[in-house]
Amino acid sequence: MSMRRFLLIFQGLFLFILSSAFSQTKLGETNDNSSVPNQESISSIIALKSTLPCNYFSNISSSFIGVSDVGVDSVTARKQAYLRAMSMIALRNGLARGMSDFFNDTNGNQISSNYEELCELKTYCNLPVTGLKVSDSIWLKSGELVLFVTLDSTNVRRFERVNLNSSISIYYKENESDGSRKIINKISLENKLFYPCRETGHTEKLTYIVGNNRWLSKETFFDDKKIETDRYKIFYELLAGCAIDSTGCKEAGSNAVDGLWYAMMNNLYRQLSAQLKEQFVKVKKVGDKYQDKLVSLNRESGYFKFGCVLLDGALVDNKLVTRIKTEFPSTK
Amino acid sequence: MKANFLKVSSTFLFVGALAMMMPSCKSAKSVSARDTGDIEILIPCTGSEYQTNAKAFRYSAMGESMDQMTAKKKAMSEARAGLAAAIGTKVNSVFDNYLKDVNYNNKEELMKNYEGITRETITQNLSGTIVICEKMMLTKAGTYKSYVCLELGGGEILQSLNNKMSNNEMLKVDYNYEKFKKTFDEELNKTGN
Repeated sequence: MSMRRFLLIFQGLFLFILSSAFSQTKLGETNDNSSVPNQESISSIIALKSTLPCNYFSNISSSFIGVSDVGVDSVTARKQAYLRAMSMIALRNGLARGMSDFFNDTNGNQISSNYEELCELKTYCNLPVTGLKVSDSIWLKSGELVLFVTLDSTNVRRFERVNLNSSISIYYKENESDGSRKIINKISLENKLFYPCRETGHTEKLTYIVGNNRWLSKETFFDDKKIETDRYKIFYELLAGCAIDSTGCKEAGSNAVDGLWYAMMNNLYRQLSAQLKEQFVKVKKVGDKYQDKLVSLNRESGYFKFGCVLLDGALVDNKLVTRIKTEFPSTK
Repeated sequence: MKANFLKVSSTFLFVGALAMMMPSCKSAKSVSARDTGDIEILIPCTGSEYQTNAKAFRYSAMGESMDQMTAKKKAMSEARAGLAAAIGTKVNSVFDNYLKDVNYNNKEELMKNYEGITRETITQNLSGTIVICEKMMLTKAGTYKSYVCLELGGGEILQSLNNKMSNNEMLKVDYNYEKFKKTFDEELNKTGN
């Protein structure tokens, strides 16, 4: 009898702990909700496996790529992929401004540092509608549409034009203190596509934040409608037998688990910001050095024109790397 | 039989003793770093060929990060700031020496003009820097260490300064390029060959 009572009490306690734990996670009251997904999201996560054809990376050099999000209808996917391919064309003609601050406080073996950088880019293109040709399109197993767009100068009719304006902001912060490092990388972009003759267009807003190389949040709005992509986790592989140069993929690649376009953009803009940083030519330095202590602040800034094209890319272990070529015409 | 055994064992003992004595025959002068326990530390992108000389300004720096690209960005930031500071110091010294040799009525006003020119020249000239050494290391802790050395030619700085000074209305009257170049070369030669 006493054993039965003990079991009942134990069962009651177990249920109480379970229910309180569940209610806490459901309310999102965990200490670190970025790394511990709640019960609801775990149950709704859909894992997908996708295969990239061999020409996926080889086509990049000869055309402009656009990839839709996973889980959108075919009409939206086409519009989205087209707009994104246009944003790659616009990247050839951009204006950038940026600033970085690097604070360093070294006291003996104790190092405290803060590196902060912000790059703002404006890109633009105005092209004849008939001069844009979809040279190839692929539906991936994961449900993403890949469009390859080429510029066809032979088929150009007057008055039918399309504009695309992009605003991109790349923010990066790395803080080191007490032996621990924290990294925040936030990329926000807004693409506005407009057909002046038809007075119609599409807009897209993307914001994604990566902390310590893990996704913290990402949001996509297409024509002011939020696209839910969080529940998909995608694992890509290249078609067997594809010959690609995967140099630097593991070290500098971006995790593609949240979709191909996110990984591509994250990798492209991080690389671009590194190349833009080379153009920060205005340098200021404030420093103080005494005995074992060294405190310094370096500030660099720049304002310049740039043009960027995607050369190719690679994929290894679901990590995607893009290779870019950036040119800097003189800014007056 | 016993005598033979003693003979063989004594031969072994003699050879053994000789072998033990051999290291002690080594000259005291040729004690290597290994014997003293010192280890040579090699820091990438440093050494005589990465130091400023009469022809160019150079600055080596290191940046560390969990992210490969940021490690390089940090190293470049340090190197650029260091280079700017080194050029600033040197160019100011050139101006001081140049002004000592010339006579102006309004020296204070002139000094202010020079300071402005130096600052502007440094910020502009840093765009012409070239990376002469670049090494990326992966540490045991999983972080990346980037070592870089930047170089900026003395001729480029002089050219830029000359353009600024020639265009400055206040300095135009009395500016003497040849004299300034001589002072500049002298100052750079003090750095090394």
